[in-house]
Formats: sequence, C-alpha cells, structure tokens
Amino acid sequence: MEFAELIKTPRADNVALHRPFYPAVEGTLCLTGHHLIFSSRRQDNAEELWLLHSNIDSIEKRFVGSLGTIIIKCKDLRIIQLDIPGMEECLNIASSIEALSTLDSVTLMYPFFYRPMFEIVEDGWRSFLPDQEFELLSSVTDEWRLSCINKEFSVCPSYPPVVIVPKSIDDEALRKVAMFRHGSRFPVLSYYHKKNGMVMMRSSQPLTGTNGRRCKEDEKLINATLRPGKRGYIIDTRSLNVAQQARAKGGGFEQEAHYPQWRRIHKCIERFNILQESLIKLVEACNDQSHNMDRWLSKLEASNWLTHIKEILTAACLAAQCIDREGASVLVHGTEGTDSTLQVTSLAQIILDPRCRTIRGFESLVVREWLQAGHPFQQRCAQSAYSNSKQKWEAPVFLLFLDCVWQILRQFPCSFEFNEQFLIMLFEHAYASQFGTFLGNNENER
Amino acid sequence: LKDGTNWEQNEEIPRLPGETRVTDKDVIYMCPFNGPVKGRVYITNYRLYLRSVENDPVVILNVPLGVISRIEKMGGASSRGENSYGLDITCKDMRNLRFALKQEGHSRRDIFEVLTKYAFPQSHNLLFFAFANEEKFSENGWMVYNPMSEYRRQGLPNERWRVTFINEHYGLCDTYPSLLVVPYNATDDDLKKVAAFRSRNRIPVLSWIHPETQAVIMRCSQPLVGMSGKRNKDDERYLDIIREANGQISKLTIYDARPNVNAVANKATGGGYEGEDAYPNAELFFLDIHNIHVMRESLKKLKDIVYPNVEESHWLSSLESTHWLEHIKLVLTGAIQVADKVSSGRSSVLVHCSDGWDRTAQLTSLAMLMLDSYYRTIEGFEVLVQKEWISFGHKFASRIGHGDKNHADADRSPIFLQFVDCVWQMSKQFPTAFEFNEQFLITILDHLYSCRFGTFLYNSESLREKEKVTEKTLSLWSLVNSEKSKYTNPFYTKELNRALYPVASMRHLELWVNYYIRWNPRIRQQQPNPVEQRYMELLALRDDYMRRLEELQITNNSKISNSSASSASPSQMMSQVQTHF
Repeated sequence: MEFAELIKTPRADNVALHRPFYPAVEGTLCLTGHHLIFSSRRQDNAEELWLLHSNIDSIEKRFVGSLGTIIIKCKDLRIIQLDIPGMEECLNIASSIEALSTLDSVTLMYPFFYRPMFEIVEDGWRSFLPDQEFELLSSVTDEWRLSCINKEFSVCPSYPPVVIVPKSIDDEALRKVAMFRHGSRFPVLSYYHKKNGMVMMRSSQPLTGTNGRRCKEDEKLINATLRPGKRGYIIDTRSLNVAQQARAKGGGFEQEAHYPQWRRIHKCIERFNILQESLIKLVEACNDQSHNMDRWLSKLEASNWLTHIKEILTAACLAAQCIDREGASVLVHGTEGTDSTLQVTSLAQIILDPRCRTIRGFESLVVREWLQAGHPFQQRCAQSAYSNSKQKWEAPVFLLFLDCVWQILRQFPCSFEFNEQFLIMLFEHAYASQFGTFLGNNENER
Repeated sequence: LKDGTNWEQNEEIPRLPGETRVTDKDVIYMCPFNGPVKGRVYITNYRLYLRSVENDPVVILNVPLGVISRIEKMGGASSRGENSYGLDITCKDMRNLRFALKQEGHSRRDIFEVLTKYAFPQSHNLLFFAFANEEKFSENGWMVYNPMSEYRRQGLPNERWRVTFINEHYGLCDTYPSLLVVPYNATDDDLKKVAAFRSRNRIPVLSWIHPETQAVIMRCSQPLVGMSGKRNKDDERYLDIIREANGQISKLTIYDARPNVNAVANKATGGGYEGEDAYPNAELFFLDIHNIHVMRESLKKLKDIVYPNVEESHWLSSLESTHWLEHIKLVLTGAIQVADKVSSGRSSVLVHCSDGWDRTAQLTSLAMLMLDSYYRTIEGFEVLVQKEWISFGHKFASRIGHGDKNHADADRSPIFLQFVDCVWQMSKQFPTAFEFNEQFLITILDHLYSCRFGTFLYNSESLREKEKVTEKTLSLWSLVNSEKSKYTNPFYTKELNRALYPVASMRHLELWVNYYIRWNPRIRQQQPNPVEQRYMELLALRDDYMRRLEELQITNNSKISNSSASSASPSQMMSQVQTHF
C-alpha cells in the first residue's frame, strides 16, 4: 500500500491553527504518510508543528459555510484546532487523517521509516541486555541462573528469550511450571535485594481451577527462594473475591495447604476499562473551562484517578516493606502478570533501590520490568483519553506507573536523577513515537 | 535557652521571665493519636504544660493559655467507663485537648477554675500575660513600624497627597490611626463632612501609591446610603478629588468586597454602596467575598475534617464542601483585580466592604504584597501587618476573642488567618519572592492567639494607646527580628518592582497542611525540606570553595610578587568564579 493513496489533498493554504494559550497562527498545512505538518511559512519567525498521525486520538469536523474546522485531540492530551477553507479540502484532509492515524500494520509505523538527525552515540537496543543484568547479580549471589528455555519464545510468548530463575530448578521443571501458570508466565526473578539477599519474583496466576489443581514443580520453584525456616509473601494484586472468581475460568491462587510457607495478601488494583474510564474522567475535569462553578476537587475525586494511584503505591510499599523490613521474599502476581504486577514490582524497586532512581537505572527498569516482561504496550496505548471507540484492551497502566513515580519524586525531591520532564517524555513516547522502543506487545513481536 | 524560654534549674517545666507557676496535677491526656497518656499537667499564668510519666519518648504538650477558646467539664461524678471524667478543651489553633482525671473528690474543680481564670483573664478582671512578660530581646519590635517613615518610603507626602493630623486624638474616627494620608485638595473640614457619610467615620484614605503610575489604593467603609438612597455632595466631590489626584480621566474604580446582594441588604441597616447616579465618575465592582460568619463556619468545617482524624475516604470532596479554598480563591482573585487595576490599568481604586476592617484589610494588604516587593521582606511584611491590619483597626480582640470566655461570640472570625493563608499560597507559587519562610507565618499565627506579645491585643490604635501597650508589653517582632535566620527563606532572591500575580484557580490552590494538620503525627511532611537542606549544603560548599580560592590567591600572589610577574588581579578571578553561582 502506498500512503499516497490515502492522501487526496496533500496540502492546504490559509489554514489557521488554534492552540490553547497561544495566539492563532495562519499558514500552510501538509500531510505526509506519518505527519501532519503545519508551517506559518513566515520568513522572520516561522512556526512549525509536526504531529505524528499515530499521536492522534480522535478528530471532529465542523462546518460554517465553506470554512471547515477540524479539532484534533492527541494521545498526549493536547487539543488543537485547524480552520481549513474549502469544504472538499477539509473533508479530504479529515478522512486522510482518520485513515492514517488508525493504520493497523505495525511495519507501516513511523519508527520503521525514521532516520535520526542526531549522532547515535549509544545503541539503546543493546544497552540493557539480560546478560549484563545477570552479571551484576552473579557478583553477589550464585543461587540463580540464566535460562534460555524461552529461546524461540516457545515456552512463553510474552517472556523474553532469557530469564533468571533459581539455580536448583532445571528447564524441565520450568516447562511443567509454565503449564501451570496463566499464559505460561512462570515465576521469574524481578529483583534481588542486596542488603539481605531477599528477592521479589513475578508471575501470572496459577491455574488451579475449581478442583484445586497443584503443581509440585511450581511449589518447589518458589520455595527455592526461601531461607530455611523463613516465610515468604505472595502479593496477589486482585481482591480475594476476584481471585476466587478466577477459579471458575481455570485460574486461581496459591492454596495455603500447598504453599504452607507463604502468606498470601490480596490487594485490589483495578484493571482495563475501569482505569481507562478513570483517565477519561480525569482529562475531562482537567479540560473543564467553566470558572464559576469550579468543582475541580470533587471532579478530581470522582475520576478516582488518585484512588488508583494510592492503591498501586500501597501495594508497592507493602512489597518493599516485606522485603526490606520483614526480610522476606515476595512473589507478585495478578491474573496475567502483565499489568498491575509490573506496576507493583517496578515501583517496589524504585522504593528500595537507589540505582533505579538514576536516568540509566530507570531506563533499565523500564526495559526489564515493562518491555521484556511483556507489558502489551500496543494494546494498552492504542488509544488515550479522547477516543470515541470503545475497545477492550486500552488501559493507562504505564501512565499510572509514571504518575506513581512522579508522586514519589514530589515527596523525595532530591532522590531522583531525572526530572518531571523525563517522565512526561516517556509517557508521550509510549503512546506515539518516532522510536520503536514501545512498539508491539512483547519481545516476540518486536 | 530554647525558643526564648529559660529553663530554670531543677525545674520541671520551661518558664518565661515573668511566668509564674499556679498549679499542677496528675492527669491522663487523651491523645487522639496515641491513646491515653499518663502525665502531670502544670499550669502557669501563660501556659498549660504536660509531661508524660511513662512514655518513651516523653510526650510533651506546651500550650499557651491564649489559644484556648473553650473549657468544658466532661462526664459527671457518677459517669461510668474509663477516663470518662475530666476536661475538654477546645483550641483556636485547629486542635482540641482532653484530660481525664480521677473521679473521686471533685478532683477537676480546682484545675478547671485555675484554667478558666488564666485562659480568660478579660472575663476575670485580670491582665493579659503580655503585661507580665519580662523577656528581653536584642531588637525592639515596636520600632519596626513608623507611619511617617513608611509613607516617606512611598514618596509621600507629595504635591497631590498630604499627611493630616486631624485624627491625632482619634476625634474624627476612633478606629483609624492618628496619622492619615489624604488628597492635597481636600481640607480637614471636607474630611469631617465625608466622615459623617461613611460607616463609623472611616473615610477614604490612602493605603499605597504606585511609584510610577501614581495610581493609589484607597480604603474606607461603606457609604451611609440607607433605604432612602441618601446622597452626600461632599463624599461625591471627595471621590472626584481622589480620581483627579492621579490626573486620571477615566473613572475611579470602586471595589466593594461584598457579594452584590449583601451590599443591597446593608441598605436596610443604613449602609449601602456608591450608586451610579450619585457617582457618575466611578465604576463599582462587587468581589463576592462573604462575611465573617461564613468564614467562621467554613473553618469550623475544615477543622471537622482534619482533626483529630483526616477524612481519608472522600478527602477531596470533603475539602471542597468546606469551601475554605474557594474563599481563599475569592479573596486572592479580588486582590489580583485591585493590583492589576492600579498597575496595568493605571487607575486609582477605592476598596471597601461594610466597615472596612476585615475584607478591606485583606484586599489592600494582599494587593500591596503583590505590587510592592518591600512588603515581601521580613521587615516589610511586619510593616504591612502593622499598617493595614493593626493600625487601621482590624478588630483583633473581637475576631480572636483574646482572653474572653464567650466562645460562641458571633464577632469571632478567622479573617487574619485567611489573609496569612493567602500569603502562604503566594509564597508557594513564588518560592523565591519572599524573604520569610513558612515558619515565620506559623509563628505569627501562634502568637496571634498566645497573648505573650502586645502586638495583636485590642481592637484599635486608640485603645492600645489607652492601655499603653507599647510601653507595657513586648512586640512579636522583637522575637522574630532577634532571631531572623530562623524565619529566613534560603531561596529568597531580592527583586525590585516585580508584580506577583498568583494564579487564583482551584487547580493551583493547596490546603496548608503544615499549618492546619500539623498536630497529626501521621500527616507531617518531611522535615526539614530536603531541597532546602540540599541548597544550604551547596551554599556552604560554595563558601568553602570561595575561602580556599582566596587562600590560593594569597599564596599565588605572594609567589607572583616574588617573581614580579604580571597576572590577572585576584578580584578579577573572583568575579569569574562568582558568575557560576
């Protein structure tokens, strides 16, 4: 397919661009395969706007006479308005934008076409390889090994090819454990706490079902992380009720009888459409322009956004306290182990490990705990707060994580190497980017 | 020496010079955060002091009796249940205290009587502790504010504005200061005629003049229009003189702080506002700020959701329903309008409410804080408070109820607290613009109630003069100015002539947690502020490097002079280094 087929009017003159807090600018609008480009084309002080089509969340058209207006709402929450003279031009442009912003094929996305204008001093793809991580780990403990069991993504499609597991568990046992865990996401090492040798593992739910299936290898695997006579904690990111209901669909949780050395704690972190609706309400409240009846605080509360933040932070603090204060190992999972689980494990590391509060350490954390761990970015970030079409897989899981980091940063302003801008940048690129980092749903697809 | 307090040897409690012990007793302090605490309570003529006997670390309560608003007996001799017999104390500073006593032998009677007597001296023909206080300070706070030098600082008097002594003996207006600034073209006779038409004779006088535009902020009370719509030629002419004093052709702007309906309702009691017919050269705007009763109820609701426990489950909507931040927003919005009119609009403004001593004081002082960087220094702020609040008759005694047992008095209202909250909001939005820190504002509020200093006692300058407050008591500014470093904001960057316009939107206003929820140990924020601490470390590091550089230059210089070679002078090198910071 050629992009040109989708672009009937590649260029329009005398277009007015309106943005909040800026005076309107007149200029020329151009459409390319990946960008909407607006230029004031003034000699003295040319203003240009480059907007990725993939950043567009929704568009609206309006007509007053032959003057058409397109309101573009972006995934990064910006809203811009374009006034385009000529009904036909306006309709053409609108339909092109609609088509180009909803392309299905990943390989048509801009990252596959992008040629950087800066000198690449470091290949980010090779900056955070599991081998390097493991090298660091093996300098402090020899109880773990690197397993290539998932080499061709044959065991677990959402895991990276290599994972870190207890040394005493061989690949054969891992294969059996994978059969017992949702989506084959068997327990792997997420974090090793140098101070006391305690660990945090993550996985998906065990497939106990209604008749209480068990898997000896699974029990053995997670018990391998316990010191003799010590208990560990399983943090289930679902409420007990939800976890019990999951049994009907073949899922479930670790029964005390089969995991006597583990204490299970249920936390309630919301998922999917509840989070998406919360974001939509939050952004609605933020964009509310009415000044007289300012109900900001109750609208903010009604969005429940801060409640979700609180729940996630509470669960992460709990995990961190179990490891650091109680000196216990922890296993974290919810249902799939790709959303709330990752929020908890990554935040707990930020709380416990100063290295994660540096720029490089944080990048490494995002790579390990989000990208390699198989957070489905493409599904979750396909749409943002303005999209009209309801789809099932969107959820601002990563944005909530970034917000939680921001909350910690606000409370400990001198403990982070990076600033607010860094977090905003990650948010923007997770939703639309010239870089391929956040493309796809897992390492396999990438 | 701690907080100006002398610990006398072998004594259980801290005492100020002039403070005397009255009684002490074994009690159980019903701490809302940690449960019952066994301790001994000591009462002096200044404070209630409790020290726990069993807890580790020791629990201490140190409460000036001035903050007490109400003392109630809880339970009776026959009450059942543990710790159900004792005293309930309501405080003015967002907390309550509860003490349980032994049920036998009327054990609370004497302590109740002593507390009541010393907490409410006005109701017992006693003097405030301020009159017994014998503290010594290196600075004399009473010297901070001199009206004449403050007006001179503003460039007054000049050819259009004069100083009048018509109120020297408070004959014109007993709630105004003795020294007033009025238009040059208005005679003292004119002023007397205007006074007859203004509520409580509070005529329009100058608060502040813009150094460039010469536009002024005037303050006064409402005109006595009444139901019949009375007019007063002298008042109308006087307002015209004010407008002309600035050489202004456009209309004079009048800001009536009240909501429109309240201003209309005031006509029934003889008040009102400047009508269009009578004042064709003036433009009137209402600022919708509610009266003292609304503010009192709002703070009461706020206390309900923060003390003793913070309402967690619906925190934001509960906070919203107190309307406290909304009132803050309206006051700030009003002050911004006043400041903007005078500065960008280059127009003189007249501000009033009903009596001109509550909302008017808030608006003029906040507008002055926005426009004049002098008031953002420690001393400048003290001058601002002395001038716009204390000298212009904000009724501190009635609004706070100093030493008065009548806790339900409808005259009480947290107007000054609201002003300080607005200042705090500004300092949050402009963290480098104020020389003082949060502790300075909290200290002012603590001593607003404590009655340790004469600063906030009584309702007007004339009463303070009668009671010889400046001779017989100490000023709060003596305490502050003797220990300035404690109240200094390390991020302060001196700027001249920069107007600060805060954003008065609910999205930017915050609850002042460090003040309103400071008693709750679970809410307390990180202390000290890590950014502040880091900044101080960096400053110390810089000083250290500067010193070392200087040393190196001295040794280098001696070498150079030995070899008589020419090189950059030390001062040049110094200036290069300084630019890095």
